[in-house]
Amino acid sequence: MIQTGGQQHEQLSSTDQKIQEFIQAFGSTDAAISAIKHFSTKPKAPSIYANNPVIMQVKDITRTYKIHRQKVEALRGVSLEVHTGEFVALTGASGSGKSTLLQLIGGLDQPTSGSITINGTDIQRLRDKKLSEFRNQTIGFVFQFFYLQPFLSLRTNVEVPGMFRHVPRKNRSPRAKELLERVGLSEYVDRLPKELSGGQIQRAAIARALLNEPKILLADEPTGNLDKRNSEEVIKLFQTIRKELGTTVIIVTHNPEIAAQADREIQLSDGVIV
Amino acid sequence: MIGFVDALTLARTKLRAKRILLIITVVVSGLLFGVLSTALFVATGITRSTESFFTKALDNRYLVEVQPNIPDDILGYGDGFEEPSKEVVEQLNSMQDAYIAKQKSIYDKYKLPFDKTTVTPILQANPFGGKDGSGNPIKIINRDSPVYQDYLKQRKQAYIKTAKNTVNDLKKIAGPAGATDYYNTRSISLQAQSTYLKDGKETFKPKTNDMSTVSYMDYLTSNVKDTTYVFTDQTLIKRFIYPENNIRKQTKDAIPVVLTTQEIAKMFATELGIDKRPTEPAAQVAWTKDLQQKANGYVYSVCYRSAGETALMQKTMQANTEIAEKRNDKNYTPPSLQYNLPTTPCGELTVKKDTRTPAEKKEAATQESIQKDLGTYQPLDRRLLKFQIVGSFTLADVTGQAQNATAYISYLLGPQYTNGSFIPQQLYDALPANVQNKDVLSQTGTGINADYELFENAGIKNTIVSFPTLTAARDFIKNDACEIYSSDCNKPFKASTYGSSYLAVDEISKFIQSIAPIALAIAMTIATIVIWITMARVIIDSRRETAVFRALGAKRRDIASIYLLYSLLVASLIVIFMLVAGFIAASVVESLFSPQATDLAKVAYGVFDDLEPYHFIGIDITALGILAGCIFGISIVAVLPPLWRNVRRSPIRDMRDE
Repeated sequence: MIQTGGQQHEQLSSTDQKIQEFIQAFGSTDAAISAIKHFSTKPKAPSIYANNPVIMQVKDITRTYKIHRQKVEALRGVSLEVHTGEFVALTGASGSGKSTLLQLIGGLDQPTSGSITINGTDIQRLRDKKLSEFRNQTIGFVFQFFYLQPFLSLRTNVEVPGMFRHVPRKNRSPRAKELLERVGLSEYVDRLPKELSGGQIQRAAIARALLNEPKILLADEPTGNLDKRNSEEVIKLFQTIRKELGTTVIIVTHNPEIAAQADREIQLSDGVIV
Repeated sequence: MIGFVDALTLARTKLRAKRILLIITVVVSGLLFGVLSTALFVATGITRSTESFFTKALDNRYLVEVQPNIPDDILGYGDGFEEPSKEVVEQLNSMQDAYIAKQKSIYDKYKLPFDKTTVTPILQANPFGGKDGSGNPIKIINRDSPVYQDYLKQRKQAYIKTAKNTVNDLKKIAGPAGATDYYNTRSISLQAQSTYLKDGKETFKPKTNDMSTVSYMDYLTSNVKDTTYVFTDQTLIKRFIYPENNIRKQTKDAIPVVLTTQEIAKMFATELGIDKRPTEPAAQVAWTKDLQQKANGYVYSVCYRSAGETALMQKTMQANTEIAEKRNDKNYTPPSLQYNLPTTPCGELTVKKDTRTPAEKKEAATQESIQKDLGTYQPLDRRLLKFQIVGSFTLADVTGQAQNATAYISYLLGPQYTNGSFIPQQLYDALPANVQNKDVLSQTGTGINADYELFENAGIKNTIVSFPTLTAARDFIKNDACEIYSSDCNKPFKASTYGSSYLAVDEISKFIQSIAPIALAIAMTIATIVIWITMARVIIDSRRETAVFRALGAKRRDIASIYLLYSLLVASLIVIFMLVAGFIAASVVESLFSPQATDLAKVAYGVFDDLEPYHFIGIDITALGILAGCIFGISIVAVLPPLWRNVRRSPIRDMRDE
């Protein structure tokens, strides 16, 4: 028994060792599990959008922060291409760098090295004014916590990106109303956000992101604060938008079910795509 | 860049965040500036009301009293106190010698022995001590010496020859400054020689001249007793004289006078049935009206006796007392010449008993002749003078000006003179000569005023100058003359406001101008700090929102405009609060003091009809605009530092805080 036991122990040890080596290769347990999940999912058929022109090209970007005098490498050489109209999910554990990547793409932050070309523009070369215009007109942002103005009606909230673009009210106001109708909030156009549910607010926030007809919609955990039903509705809305408007959608999520609904899932781990 | 209306829309949402902090900011800053705006409302009200009051009451006539600036040494102010120079001593001694020689020759004429030690010395040892280099007492001028009076007169005559402060000189200066009219004034004082006849009766008691216990107000209201009046052009005191149709009581057998209501009440309360002067302004209006009715045309009498007769009266009173006291003293020899005091008002003294020897009588006659020769003889003369009240005014009590608001207003608006009685020149001139008593009423006094005529005849005299605007009057006083009481005046004239304190408006604005910058600086400093704290708090709390706006495409400038507008909105609230608080506070002051002040204004000039209410609230758009501008200014200053820090932040940092 003891012998047998000893053999069993040896066998276990060797399996254990292999697992340890496996995990070490990925850097962390989470990353390893993600990788397993990734490889275990059935490879998707290439989407019809894969043949569209490349709208965004990320080339070997790194992003290093200094937090309390310590260097933190959030991204360590990430490259990817996204095609027009694609629906891409950025996934990864907390701290994997997915939000950082999204913010760099959105022109809210600058990479330490590498380049990001969106719609033919190298956005690192843009200064504040042009970069603001780029965010305003090319990118639409959707946030996890919605960030609507609590004391403004939904319509005015949706109009805000138009205000920064100096779009006359007579042009932007009907469009805001139309967008709110489109996201199913026609009854709430002149209501305040506090009168709405989380899902409704997020839909209004999506309407806001669409006001200036952006080429790319960036959503950072858009369903992170929503229940399952509302999450599904929001994702469905993204897909409709992509389908009807041809808008490229990139969402950050750690919900595998949502990621599964994207054309492509790009997984990050410790600042690299895995 | 974001449009103004859109920036305003977004800025307005900020007002709804951090409400408590916002309310504290608006209330604290609003109250600070509210105090200033209250002061401004009230000061503007007072200034405007006072100005419009003067415009009406003074009939656009801003009077300036101008005095020729005669050096103190010419008037002999230092004489008798300081050691005179060697040259002066020599001159005085030679004049004294001449005087003694003249006296001796007169005595010689009457074949009388002359004792030169009886002559008043011109120099005397300083009663306050002091010795010169050789140990002798320091000698100073004896002002009682007749030689000194001559010496002073000579000095004045010499001065007059080259003086540059005659009325003609004045016209050369005041004319270009805008003066339109020049009026004479002339004061008379028969204080030592006149007695007020109460109920027409003359009472006899020794004259005292003790001014030490008399207050300024008492002094200004003892003109009836002292027979002190100022002859003044009727135009200048027109508003004090009772209206023409009311002077039906005026008889042409008395000298018209204008007295203060204070003196009328003091002197004739019983005769006229006047109550005690009330303290309430509204009651004062009724009291003044009543007094005017009752005093109008009232005639009182004064007995004038010449210096010689006054001296004889005093002597007789003393002798009568002495005779009565020593009735039983066998060793007492009563005077050989005794008089009876007058038995009729202002009557003659009659001889009671004359037991003089022929030699005594001759001696007395000789003394009289000598006095006549020396020019010091004083004849016996008396005159019953009748005065009639034809007007009155209420003198501002300058002593109470700082006590309370009503006292200040009455000081501000009330007539201000250094005398309390007038004789209107034109009314006087229209009287028959026997009523005028010109020979008596032209006496100007003794001492320093003794040579008044010397100056007056040379055109060096006090003049009242009329200017059509307050500005012209003020500029003349300020630029072309010295202050009345200045001791180191290098200009030919001294000047001050006459009849009213119309320049008090200047005092108010000067006071405000001196205190306003300090108050404003304090308010601005505190308000800046409060607003700064609020702005910084609001901006820090809105960092995520700023980041979201940046993500949605806001440029730094857009963010800056939103917060600048927000700070201006806060400033607008503070301005509104300040104006409302200031207006409410000023309205309280208005309702508390306006009726009283209006009544005081009525009493002050005796004008009871169609006098506009005196307001304590006035709006000075420019000054309020400056205050509002300061608030907007500090709001911008207060928002800039936190805003500067905020727009330089990376939006991503504030996003990541989540």
